[in-house]
Amino acid sequence: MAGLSPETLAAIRVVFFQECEAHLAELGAGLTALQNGDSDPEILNGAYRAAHSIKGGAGIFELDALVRFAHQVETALGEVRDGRLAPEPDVLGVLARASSLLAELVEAGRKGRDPSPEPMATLGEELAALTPRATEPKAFDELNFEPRPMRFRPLSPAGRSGPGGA
Amino acid sequence: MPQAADVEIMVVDDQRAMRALVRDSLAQIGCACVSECGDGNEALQSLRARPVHLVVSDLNMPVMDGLALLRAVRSEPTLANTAFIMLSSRADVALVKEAIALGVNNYLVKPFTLGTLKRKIESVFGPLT
Repeated sequence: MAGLSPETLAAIRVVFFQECEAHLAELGAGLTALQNGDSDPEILNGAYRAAHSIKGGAGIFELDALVRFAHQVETALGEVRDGRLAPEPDVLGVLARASSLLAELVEAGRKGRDPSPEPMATLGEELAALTPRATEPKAFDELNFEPRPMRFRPLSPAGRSGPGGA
Repeated sequence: MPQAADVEIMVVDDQRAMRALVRDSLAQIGCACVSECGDGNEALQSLRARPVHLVVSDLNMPVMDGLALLRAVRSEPTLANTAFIMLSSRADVALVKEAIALGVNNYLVKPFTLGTLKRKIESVFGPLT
């Protein structure tokens, strides 16, 4: 990310890859639970957040292949979570292989290696086939949002009863 | 026109790496008074004890997500006027629309640049000196 020193980014990168281990474990545990018939929404949410978090962190370090693939995994998990994709054995099989590949991509990113494109392309097609209705992210420009200004007022040191009014 | 160093900010994200990124980015633009929380519930408890000028929160978090935190902040009279910037990914347009409906002041799409971060804060408080 532009603007931060290489040393700062290197330190954040170490933390990111440490957290990836936990995210991959949560993703794997979630898929195992689904395979065992456990449809606890929080397990699915956890698996979804794991893929989402890997994608978000990878974006900081411009690990584009990891971002794209994690997004596909996240999308498929979102479809399962939202009830648009049934967690049938073939679906869970694809997700399990995708989870393994995601772990490989994380490892490649950690070591600074370029990942092999073929498995990503193959599994990417399988994931895309599971989520034909999923749409690509819309441009945020479409929101036509006007920021909401707020008056800045120093916090009261005594009561600290809250920041200034709008 | 606030001084950047005077703006008290809480960063809320379940990922330590992302919290570190936002904190270090804020430090680069002069905002050094930054606290951190790992989820919305922790943030809400902390805000009740010690309000801040601005919350910069992720959307997707366990326990209490960013939308629930925003809803809670806007519903508590002592916190309702806390500025709130939502961190989101490119795929979160629908959730950002919800945040807008709940009264978010602005949003910040990851990954972001220092310039964008500063502009987002200035869009709320005016130019930082």
